[in-house]
Amino acid sequence: MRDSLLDSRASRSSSSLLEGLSAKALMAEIMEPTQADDSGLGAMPPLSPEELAPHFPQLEILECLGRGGMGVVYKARQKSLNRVVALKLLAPERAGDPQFAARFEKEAHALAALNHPHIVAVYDFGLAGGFYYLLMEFVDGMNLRQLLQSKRLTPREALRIVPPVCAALQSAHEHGIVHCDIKPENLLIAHDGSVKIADFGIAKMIGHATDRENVHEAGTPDYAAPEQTSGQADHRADIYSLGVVLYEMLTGERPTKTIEAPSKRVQVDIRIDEIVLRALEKQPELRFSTVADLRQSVESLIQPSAPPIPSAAYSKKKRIIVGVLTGCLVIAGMGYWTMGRSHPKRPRLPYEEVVDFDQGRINESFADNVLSGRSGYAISPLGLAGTSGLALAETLNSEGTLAYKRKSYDLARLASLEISCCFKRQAFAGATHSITLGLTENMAGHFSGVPGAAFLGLRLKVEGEVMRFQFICKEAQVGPPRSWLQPGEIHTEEDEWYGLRVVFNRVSPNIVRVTGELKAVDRHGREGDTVAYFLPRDFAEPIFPLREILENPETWVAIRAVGPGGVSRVDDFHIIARPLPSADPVALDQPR
Amino acid sequence: MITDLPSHRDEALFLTTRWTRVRLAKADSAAGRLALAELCEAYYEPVLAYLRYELRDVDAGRELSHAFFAEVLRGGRIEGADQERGRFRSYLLGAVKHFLSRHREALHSLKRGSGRVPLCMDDAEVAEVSDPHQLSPDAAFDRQWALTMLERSLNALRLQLNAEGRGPFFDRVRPMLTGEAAHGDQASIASECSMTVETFRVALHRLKRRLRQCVKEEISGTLEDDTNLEDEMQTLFAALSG
Repeated sequence: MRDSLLDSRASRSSSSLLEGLSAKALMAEIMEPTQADDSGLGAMPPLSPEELAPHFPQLEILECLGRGGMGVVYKARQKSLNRVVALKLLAPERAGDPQFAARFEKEAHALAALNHPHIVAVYDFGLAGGFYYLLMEFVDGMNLRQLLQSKRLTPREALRIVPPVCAALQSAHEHGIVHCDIKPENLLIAHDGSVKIADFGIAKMIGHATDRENVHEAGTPDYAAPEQTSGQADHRADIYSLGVVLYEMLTGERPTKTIEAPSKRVQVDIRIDEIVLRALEKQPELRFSTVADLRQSVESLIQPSAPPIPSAAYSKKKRIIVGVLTGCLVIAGMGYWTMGRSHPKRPRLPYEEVVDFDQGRINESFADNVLSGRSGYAISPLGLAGTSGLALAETLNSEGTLAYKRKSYDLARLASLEISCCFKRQAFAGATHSITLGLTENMAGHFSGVPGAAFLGLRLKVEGEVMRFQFICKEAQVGPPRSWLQPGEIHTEEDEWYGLRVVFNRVSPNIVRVTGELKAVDRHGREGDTVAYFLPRDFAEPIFPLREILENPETWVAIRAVGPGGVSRVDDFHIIARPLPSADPVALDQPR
Repeated sequence: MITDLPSHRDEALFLTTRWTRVRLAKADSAAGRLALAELCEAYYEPVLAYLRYELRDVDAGRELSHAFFAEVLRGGRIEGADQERGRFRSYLLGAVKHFLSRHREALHSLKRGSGRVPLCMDDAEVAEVSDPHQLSPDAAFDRQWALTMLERSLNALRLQLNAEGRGPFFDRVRPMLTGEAAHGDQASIASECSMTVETFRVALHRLKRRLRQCVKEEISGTLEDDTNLEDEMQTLFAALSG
């Protein structure tokens, strides 16, 4: 009898009385009845994929990607076309307003008409579940804000982002559409390095201060042109915003009221000053009259006919140069260090260590340091390119940690520490993680939860038939490890080789910044497509117990591979420790 | 033996369920178990939400909540810390967590003895730190609790108006309960309801007051005494803020 009660609940059809209402607003109203207006709405908590699913039967909602000023974005799969799309839900307060509906439709049509390789495409729009929504192209990568948080762009890299953005803006302006909200969050950088502008025209849809209702600010005011507050903005507002973005890419900060020329803050060609300052003119008439003009000026600097003019005021201030970013591979042709044997006899960097499996034996310093784990490793002739690699023993029970010690992985003295390896996939057989790269305090701890040494690392956790990136760290002796699991499933195939790379940066005494990447690798060790990124993320005390391991000048770099976690072989274990720059910060920035 | 719940579902929703009744009732009494069953049925959704987030699997969450409630309703004792008994919400969450950990242990020992490849045991201990951008299971529980509470309060109000013959008025006005948002023209809605604008505004105001009363009654029903009422309302409001 009881059970039938529970079952009947599931089938009871209920149209919720909360439908179309913001629960938070309702509760606010209930608690403070004297409020006469809409205040206190703020942001709604994002709906979970399950809650959304009934409103979008044509989509399979995969995960929430994040929330911006305009609304919440989800990753979804369009069932009919079997493609991945981005679903953006706009704020629900508008749902009852017919004027908004008309404006929304008009803008959506205009957006759909904009068909440009550097603009995120809009596929569909509508009203569902009380939300206005946009169905858009899904860009697999990160936005410029995330990129800026993880590394400092060189002037060249910064400039190279500008022309595609200009091309897109020019096309839009010619169609009579102004973006109005250009900022790093809206510039998406895909895996292949291409740049796309997102959220076109949305700012105009939502409206700004001209609306009579309470509007939460649609984007950071820092990027908006002065004339945007009065509602008189035209296409030149986008030029201003792009100028702010360029300034920020070059100097690391947004311009203040009295703008200091970029060349006075960083070492850049002084001709950049002219471009940036002109774009940032308070009066629109003094700026570039079109984005095409801005583009031309920038392009003339990228392909100089004359050698660059160094700035007079060169700052000798020591700055930590962040090591190679693994999250964004190629920006307009800048080459980054590639793993494996793609360069046959590439001279090894002085601070690079490679664990030599190819001699058919583990080299001496490594032999001292090998942990045998639960069953042994064996050097096998079945590594990449037919060379020797490490095979985990053939029984399913095998796993083990290799620790490799070098003189100093003292992260207080390093700009970054990059650890990478290749591994071959086999069937999952019940283990919950497959491969871990990181640092351990001594040989006694092997990224394990049992009492033992402190460690930190990035690993691939196994859930069923997929993997996920997970950061783990632990202090010695006490307590379980703490971890953070990145949303997003990683799909890999048996019998294929993959390359895993992790970069650790100690950005401050308490904070370590981690990035990671999983790439497909061919049998010769040449890199192919990126399968997944661990997006740059900071981990800090006191939540993550980092100090012990970071302060220890004798940390060991280690790799732990687990047979039942889907790893059969390991090869090309590389460690690159980049010291802090000494006199010449430019030297580390060279393309390889 | 637990007797049947009343057959009219609407009325069951409307009945004020009293946590106090449960607390005061003798552990084995039918009345006590009935009251507990009513409460559990009322707040089924938050348990489901918690388990879904904790297990990261919709189906597993549903199955486990089924098992949890089945155990409760069979008269199994709900384990819970004494200091949580002031609020049914805390108590129920504690009970679910306890149930879950027992379930996990059972699952573990099953696998351990099965003769298959041993799992990496140390993983069971890895304590996951919540991502500020994602709801933790506890937060999901509280948030759904708040939503369920609001749903029940609105339903209670609707039933009251229905009984007064003013059901259509409630339906028309419901979207406006969140504030003075301009959902359509007030004047035209007023005339639809055969009222002047002034009368309409007063009626809306009174309706909001009654809703507040329903919410307070609903929340009181889950508290041992009303001294915690304001605090509980604040907590639920915060839970909706994500």
